[in-house]
Amino acid sequence: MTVSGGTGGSPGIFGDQEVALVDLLDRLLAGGVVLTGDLTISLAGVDLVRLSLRALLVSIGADEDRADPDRGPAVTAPRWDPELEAGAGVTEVRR
Amino acid sequence: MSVVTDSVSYVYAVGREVPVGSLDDLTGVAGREVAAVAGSGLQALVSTVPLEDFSGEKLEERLQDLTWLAETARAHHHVVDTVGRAAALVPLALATVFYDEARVRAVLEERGAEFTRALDDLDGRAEFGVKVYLPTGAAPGAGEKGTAEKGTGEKGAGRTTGTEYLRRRRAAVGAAERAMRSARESADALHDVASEAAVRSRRHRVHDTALTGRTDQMVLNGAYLVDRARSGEWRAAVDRAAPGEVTVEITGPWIPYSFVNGEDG
Repeated sequence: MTVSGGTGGSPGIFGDQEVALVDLLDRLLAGGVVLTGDLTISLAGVDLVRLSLRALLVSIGADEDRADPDRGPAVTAPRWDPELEAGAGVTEVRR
Repeated sequence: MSVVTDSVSYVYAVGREVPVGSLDDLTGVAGREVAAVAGSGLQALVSTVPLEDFSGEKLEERLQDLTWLAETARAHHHVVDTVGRAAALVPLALATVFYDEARVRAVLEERGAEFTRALDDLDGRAEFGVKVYLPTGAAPGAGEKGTAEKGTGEKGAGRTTGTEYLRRRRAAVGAAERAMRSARESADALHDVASEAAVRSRRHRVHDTALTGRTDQMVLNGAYLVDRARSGEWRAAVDRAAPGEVTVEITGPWIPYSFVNGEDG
């Protein structure tokens, strides 16, 4: 069975946009030319990935208190939320 | 030169023959407009952004704020993807920041040859992603809440004894392990086919279920650099090879983020 992500990619977490954030972060953090910028010298690519994945996990856990925009410290344990389950908008082709 | 400024230059990508009009009406990170900074016959796509948001310390903090991270990543991607449709581009990693445009120009001069090589390499090529998941239903015992799976809870048996429960549980775990092993092998085989039909390939780390928001376990998160003219062929090869017992998702075409670093990529 093959699922097409179409031009933009497949929606996953936060599938409201055409490209899943996790897919994007795979590429923007682990990919791209790594130049030593003037201000980001201390941040190596690997650290970025770790940092961001932690950010993702934490905020998934905190997702339900996301109603208030200035979010306090997110301390909820990471968990997945069936509401966010991918699939909406993805066309499945059974083979 | 140590002029005190409160803004810095955020660089998205370096390109060649970027059409002049393609940056009009384009909104980048922090809602800023995008300009081209020229040097060595190349153009860097740049936005002037507030220093306070992009200083090293601040950035480290900001990267843990998902709202900010998502907005910035999407804005970065929007610029790269939009301009990349009209010109060859080498994307930079997220949040590459220089003091000012003069520094960006200097980097273009210093590394012009390198960028030109990368542009030659990526021109006319696109990246595709292949993700393979083992469906929860295929791995008995993986879904705790038992999404109406047959076999795990036969009705006629009535109440199960502790021993019976354990026996079934053990069998389910064994089956789940076999299903996972077989899914990994399928994923490896598919990766081989997809790689062979591509110019280069690379495996990103697989996502935890917490990240994907689904119960299916990811077993492959591959990226493939493909000649645009042959992307239909590549796609067909992957479709043909996609095994039935797993779910295969294809994403793309992407600007080749995962392949900017040459052969080792």
